[in-house]
Amino acid sequence: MYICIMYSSELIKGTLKTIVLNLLKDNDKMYGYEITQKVKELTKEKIQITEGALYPTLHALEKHGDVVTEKIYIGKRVRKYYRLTDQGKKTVSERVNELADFMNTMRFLLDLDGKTSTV
Amino acid sequence: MYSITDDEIDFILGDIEKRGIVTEDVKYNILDHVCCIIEMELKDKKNFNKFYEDTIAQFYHKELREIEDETRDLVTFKYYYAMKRTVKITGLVSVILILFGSLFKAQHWPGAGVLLLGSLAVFGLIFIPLNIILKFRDDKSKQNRSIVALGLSQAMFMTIGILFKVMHWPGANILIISSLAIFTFVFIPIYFFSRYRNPETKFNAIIHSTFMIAAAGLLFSLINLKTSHNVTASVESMDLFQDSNLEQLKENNAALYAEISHDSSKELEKFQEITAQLLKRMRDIKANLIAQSNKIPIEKAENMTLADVQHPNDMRVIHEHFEEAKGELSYDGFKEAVQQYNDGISDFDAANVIRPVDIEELQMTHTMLSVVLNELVDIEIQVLANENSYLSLSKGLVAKN
Repeated sequence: MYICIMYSSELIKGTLKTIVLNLLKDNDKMYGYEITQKVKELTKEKIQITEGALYPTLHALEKHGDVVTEKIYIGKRVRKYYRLTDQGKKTVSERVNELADFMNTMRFLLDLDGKTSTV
Repeated sequence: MYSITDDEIDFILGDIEKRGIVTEDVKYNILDHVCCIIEMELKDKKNFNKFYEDTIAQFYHKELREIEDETRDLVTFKYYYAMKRTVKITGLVSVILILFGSLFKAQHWPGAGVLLLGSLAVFGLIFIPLNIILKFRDDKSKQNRSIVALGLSQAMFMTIGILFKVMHWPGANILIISSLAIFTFVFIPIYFFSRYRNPETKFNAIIHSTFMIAAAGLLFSLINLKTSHNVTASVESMDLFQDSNLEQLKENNAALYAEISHDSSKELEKFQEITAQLLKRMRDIKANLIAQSNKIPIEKAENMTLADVQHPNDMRVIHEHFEEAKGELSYDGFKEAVQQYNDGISDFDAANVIRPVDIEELQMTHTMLSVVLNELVDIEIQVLANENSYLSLSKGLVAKN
């Protein structure tokens, strides 16, 4: 519902946290718009995170202690930058490993390698 | 790059607020995000309003509030899955404990109380409240949430009431009857009328309400289960019968005393005194127990019998005011009085006609008020019978002389 145009939302919803956390691992601090643009750019617009999914996720990560925020005032606007905490860094590696393992399992389950070898 | 003006920022912020976003953080996140998009992508200032409308529309499906709701849900219910797991575990635990607890209770095996206490506490104080919270989280309809929460809280009170009943704690009936009354006269009508109006749920509303009324009625009849009028009448008749026997014995003994009193010896007087002492102690104990059970002053209970007792099954009064109590009116005090009586009568040379009171033969603890009152009457009859035998023996001796 929220995430993208190319892939079904059910497919990607569970990975949003991993995507956001991993981006923050590679970049010191980011704000919401920057994150959506970065994902768009990195995936050649195949995955477009919508605002409706991004902000609830960021708030939940903040509440869980995986990220901390820093407010920068730009005129009348307030920009919130997100930065990984030590706990967040641990969560990233756990989440990435879990997802990688899951993808391998799916590859095996759906026999994707077998298919490619026969082509 | 388009440069956004302060007026435009005010306009956007006002619009976001109008669309129902109240949380400060969410509000400023959306504002900055919209501003970024406008700055990066708006080409012509004239199109600002249209561009803004199109941009903000990408943020939601039906309304902008979704972002705030989703944020709140994610933040507030971070323990959602843990709660669901707890519901499953406590549900399973309480079902198993209830099954074993009722089996143990029915078989009078030890441990039934602990099992039932544990199961009903887990069920009523963890399982049901968690279900209410989860219902609030899962059900989007406010009406449904309130109805189910009301029903479940009634179930919770009922469970706690049953727990009190099973553990013989005071206040059980008030809890059960009041929760049953609210369930029947408040919950069922609300449930019925709210669902009856909707054609889809109309049939189920009728069936479910019928089931619930039947269940509530059956439970009520069980809760209020008392002995039938026939049993009550038979107990009262036994009581009257015993009383008339007692009176008869007292009259006979008084007549015997009168007959041989001109020869009254010190021995006779002593026997009379020993007898009177134990009889008085028993009258006092009886009056005290009835007064405590009926919650009336002891003077009012002095001439009362089993027929005047409001709760013949009262076990609490025996436990608190007889078994565990101290002093003359306690079980220990009574045992001492009986011992004194037995010692007293053993001094008389009449072992073939008088019999000491063997209190160990009677179980006077861990039982109900009606049983103890009956036991006291039986002891009274024995004491009067002893007196009667002794007096008859004395009269015979007097006649021989």
